[in-house]
Amino acid sequence: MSDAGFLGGPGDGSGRGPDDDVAAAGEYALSLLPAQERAAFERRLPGEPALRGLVEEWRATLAELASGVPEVAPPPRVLRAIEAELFPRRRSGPLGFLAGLLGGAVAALAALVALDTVVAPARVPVEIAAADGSFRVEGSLDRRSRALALQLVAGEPGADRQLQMWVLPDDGVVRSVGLLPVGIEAGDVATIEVNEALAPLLTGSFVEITSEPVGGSPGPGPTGVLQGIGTVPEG
Amino acid sequence: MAAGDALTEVEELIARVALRDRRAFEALYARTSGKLFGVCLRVLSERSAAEDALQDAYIKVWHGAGSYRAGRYSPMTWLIAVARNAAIDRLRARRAGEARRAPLAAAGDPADSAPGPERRVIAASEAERIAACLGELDDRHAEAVRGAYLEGHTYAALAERHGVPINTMRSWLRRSLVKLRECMTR
Repeated sequence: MSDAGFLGGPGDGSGRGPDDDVAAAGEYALSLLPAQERAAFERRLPGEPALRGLVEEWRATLAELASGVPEVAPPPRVLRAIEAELFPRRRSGPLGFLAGLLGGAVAALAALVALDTVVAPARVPVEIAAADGSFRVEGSLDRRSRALALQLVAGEPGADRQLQMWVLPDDGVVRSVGLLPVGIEAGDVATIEVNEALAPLLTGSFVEITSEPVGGSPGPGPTGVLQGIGTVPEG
Repeated sequence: MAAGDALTEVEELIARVALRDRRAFEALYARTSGKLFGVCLRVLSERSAAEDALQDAYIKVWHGAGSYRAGRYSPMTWLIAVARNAAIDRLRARRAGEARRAPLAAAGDPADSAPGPERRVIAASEAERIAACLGELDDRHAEAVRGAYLEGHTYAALAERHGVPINTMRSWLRRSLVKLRECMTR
């Protein structure tokens, strides 16, 4: 059975009481709401501070369930991957990158230790633009981490709209790659973490960005105004 | 440093990350990644997937630091929620292992453990409080709440585990949530 729509909804038509919101906010924090209800719930959040408060309260309460979870130091490669993704332009080769990362006297030593694990990421450039230059997104896809780092160079989502990226692979079925942040402005950088199944379909495919309602297209495909198109090279 | 100062420090780091302070980001990572990696490992139980989820989490922290509002709740709860949700997203994307339990023991070798617990004293009592409130629920219901939070079980998976229809599972869980909050707020 699919996650979405196995129930008519909470409350079974008896109207929405305070307990319904308590339960729904808890379900939301537990990632249990079926997709459609989750979308409806998220639409209520901006206008209902009390509901946002409930979600925060649940997150705080539930986070205590993690209190017994032991701390485990992640391997250094995780921070390197994060920074490579967030700060791609600061990289000037492995040594410079690590020096910037670690700073100070430890850098040289750490670089020596870590050098053999630093590899050039399999990055492919991504460009999505309108022919008249009114819209332009540039960036790159790191095929290893499946991180798509994008900069909005020109254009805007429009009022109450959100930019959504799509891919049209060879099978002809358009799929959502992800959403750019609400309120993104020219010059802003955003990262989309490409779904594991989708990542291999991205290279060599047509991609496009449309302007959709906040939260993304209501359907499986784009519904909004096409802003720009491009292709992702095979790399 | 007093116990409470550690939290204030994390709050301050998040505020600076919101201003795109890369050094603050690194400090925040150094300060909190052990706990968050522990959470990712607990949810995903597989090391490389947990590393990916941790990476997702800190990228969300970088982009979302501006939306965190200091004051009401501990900043660690926000960070833990971000990490937990990133791990759940990975888990669901994988779509495997819904039925497989993630054993607690999978949370890494002891040799990898970060030094020193740094939790607030008060946090222990909050943790005790939710443990006590979960204790007031029917065992199976409490187990369902834990399973949803720490193992990312969906209603379908929970229903299967407990051998009840999905609708029943959902009614149980929603009632449990209402009871749980009554207990937490009294």
